Amino acid sequence: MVTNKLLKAGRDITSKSEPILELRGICKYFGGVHALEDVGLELYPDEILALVGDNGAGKSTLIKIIAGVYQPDKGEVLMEGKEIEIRSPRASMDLRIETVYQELALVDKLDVVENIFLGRPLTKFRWFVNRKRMVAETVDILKRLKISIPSLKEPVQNLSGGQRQALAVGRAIAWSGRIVILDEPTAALGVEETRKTLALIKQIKEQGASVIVISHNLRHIFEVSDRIIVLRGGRRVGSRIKSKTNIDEIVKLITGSL
Amino acid sequence: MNSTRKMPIWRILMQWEVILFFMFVAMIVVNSSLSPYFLDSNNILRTTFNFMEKAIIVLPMMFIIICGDIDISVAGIIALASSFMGLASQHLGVGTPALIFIGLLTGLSVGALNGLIITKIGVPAIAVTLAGFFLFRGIAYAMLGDMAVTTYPESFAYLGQGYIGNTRVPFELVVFIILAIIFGIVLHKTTYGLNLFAIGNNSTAARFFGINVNRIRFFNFALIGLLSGLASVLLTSRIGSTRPNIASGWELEIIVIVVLGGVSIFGGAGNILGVVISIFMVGLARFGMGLINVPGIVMNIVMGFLLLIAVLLPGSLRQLQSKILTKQQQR
Amino acid sequence: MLEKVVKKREFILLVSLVSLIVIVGLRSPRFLSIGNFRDIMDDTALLAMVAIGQFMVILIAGIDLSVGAGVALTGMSVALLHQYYPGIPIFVIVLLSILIGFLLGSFNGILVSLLRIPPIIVTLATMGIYRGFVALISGGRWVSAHEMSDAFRNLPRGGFLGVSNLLLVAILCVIIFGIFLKYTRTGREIYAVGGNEIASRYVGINLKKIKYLPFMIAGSIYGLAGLLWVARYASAQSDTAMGFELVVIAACVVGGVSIFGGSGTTLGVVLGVLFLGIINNALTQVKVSPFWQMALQGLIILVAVIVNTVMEKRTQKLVTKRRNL
Repeated sequence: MVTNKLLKAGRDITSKSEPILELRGICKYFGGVHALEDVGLELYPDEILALVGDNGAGKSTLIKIIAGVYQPDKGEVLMEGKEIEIRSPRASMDLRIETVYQELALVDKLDVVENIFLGRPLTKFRWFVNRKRMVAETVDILKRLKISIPSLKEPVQNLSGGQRQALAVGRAIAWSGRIVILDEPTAALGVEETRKTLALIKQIKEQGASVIVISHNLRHIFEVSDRIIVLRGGRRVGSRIKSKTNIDEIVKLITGSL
Repeated sequence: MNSTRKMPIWRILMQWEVILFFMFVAMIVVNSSLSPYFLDSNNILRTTFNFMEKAIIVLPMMFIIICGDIDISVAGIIALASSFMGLASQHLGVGTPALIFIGLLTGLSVGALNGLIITKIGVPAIAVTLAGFFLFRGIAYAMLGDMAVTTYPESFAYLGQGYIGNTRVPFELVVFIILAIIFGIVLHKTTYGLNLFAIGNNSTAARFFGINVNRIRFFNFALIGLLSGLASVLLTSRIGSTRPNIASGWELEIIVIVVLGGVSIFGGAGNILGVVISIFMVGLARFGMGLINVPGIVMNIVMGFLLLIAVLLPGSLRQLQSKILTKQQQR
Repeated sequence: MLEKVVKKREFILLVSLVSLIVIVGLRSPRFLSIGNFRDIMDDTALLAMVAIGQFMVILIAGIDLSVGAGVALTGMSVALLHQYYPGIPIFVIVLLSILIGFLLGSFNGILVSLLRIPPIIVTLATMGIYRGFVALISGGRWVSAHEMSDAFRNLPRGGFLGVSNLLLVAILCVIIFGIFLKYTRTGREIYAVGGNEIASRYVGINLKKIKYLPFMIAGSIYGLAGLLWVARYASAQSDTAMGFELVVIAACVVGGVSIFGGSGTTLGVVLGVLFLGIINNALTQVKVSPFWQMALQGLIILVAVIVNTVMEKRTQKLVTKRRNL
């Protein structure tokens, strides 16, 4: 009940426009474990939505449902008001949802170009890889996003942490996703690299896409996001407009001391 | 962008394929100084008969290892396919086209069975093909016992023994060259090849980015089955007989050739050029050793050390390379 | 929870083993005789001792393909030594065989632990190298029964209380290394490294030592097995124990050892060995052509790996997904 009220409250204070993506009453069980219990989520156009919560709160499970890695046991997913099913990662990609996974964003031994086009290379004559066009587009994308990478032919394992993260985020933008999901984009980055990555996230919004970002770092969350949804123990416990809340309140929501 | 920048000479020289090529040349020089017969072109062409069947299986094995899997049942598949052909020829008296069909079909179905168990049930490839190693050759033994089939139609002999027209070019060699070109193109120019590398490197990432990992792995095992069937047809035709112990020990030599060719045993790296050079280096080295009366089994010592070097060298070269690279970047 | 399932797996194996014995025994009573039982034990003793070494290697997520070649090389070395210097006392020969095996296994272990070459590559290479040396030192010749003294040939046969030396050695190996793996700190570290190498490093386990040790032990065991092999079959030749490595690995896999390392029990391995050994013997007892032996082994391995996988999946589904939340 509480959840529903909060859900409604969240909707009222946000703009009147229709959500681009909406999840309703999502449940996910692993054996006897209730990973998600009646969780709702709504994402509006041109919005950066932060998803926060303690370890095991269900953040990763929730975004994996949007990314098509898991299927929900209950609940519905709506895109622009129409009910849809996201049966596989490929289906999610086809809906122009781009996900940047923590840790496994890149394939280490493949080069920059091959990573940008992972899973959907540009082709000619249907089966053949069109390397030339892929290189040209990569150059274009990197220039647009002001990402500097020494050599496109270098396996990405030789890149720095910041370059790798920029590349992973850049890939999501390059595919002009309507929705970009970022799982812990600033984990394991240095100060300068973090700053650049946060700037990139804002850039995604400027390109006209909506963003869902998971992070443990509330300062980063407060720097980039418009709205914050808090999960605890597989349930949604709150949704706050950033400008009308503070770190303290969010921490209390996360720990359940509110 | 510097992607089009020319590679410096030292980086080209340090590629494993280049080193392999120099070893290949050195091997030819040493061999030809030991025996004047070695460099005779007819001789070399004729000697390819001895390793073309292996070479044909090396190609799909390259796919499988790049993809992070392994198949140790290939020699068993050869034995099984050969036994079916033998029985069909002996008892039903079928002709050459039917024999080829039986060989290929046996290989394909057995390979597909491996692939099915690996991808649908999720049993590790090494465990499934270890079982296959015993099972397939075991069925061959069960069918043939200590009997040998030697009754093959005359026209069947051409496949493994014949030459193209009036030339001195063996039919088997041509089959291999065509296959090698196709495998090279698929590996390096198509999405299928690209996906192989992606899966071998990071199969979870590949799956998350929409690559159908299990379909590709299944296809690989079906493919190696089919080509093991083809190798069985050619081998049976060449030696003109089937015994259950046919091609025993081949699986390991085939894997050695693939790894020697620069394919990472952990998957995710390798290229067709290295593998092809490796095939000819090993094949001709065995031939050369034979000319100077070194038994094949002693040749295993050389192969063993080569394998260790093949794994150690590129790693230390890469370390050296990245050291030089970082130095250049610092400048 | 996991403990229960692991026990259950061995239970399944034990039940199938007993039912196999009963079924074959009903069809051919001689199968159940003490004499035949002794035959089975002696036939599987070599496999059992070598399998214990292989088990340790697989536990650290390795594999030892050099077993057959190692058995042949030690066997040939000591057979030649014995032939040319018959004066060397048998117990020195025994020690020498262990020493040679120790060196062969150590070579594998050093390449794996110090140079960090994957075990499958190292032992694929040394399989070729050791096998090549068998041919090289023997010049392709056989050492046959009449070139061996009675004392040499009787080494595995002798014994006391009706238990042959061969079986005694195998039982000792199983007990010693079974206790080593289960109750010593090093033994537990071997499990830990196979289960999670990175975590093991973080808690300060000496990875170099733990990755070397199983290969060294496996080598020392197959060294001794090499001597017993050539003595038992009274011949040493270039293709002695050819392909034996795969039978050994198969025994481990049938015994429920995970090919990815970190799990499996000594009891399981022993049951796996017995299963393969008894099948072979049973076939001849119920007069099935011995040519069926290999196919049946293959089928057993296939069933075993499928059962292992399905059971593992059932337990891991819950565990890993809980982790993924």
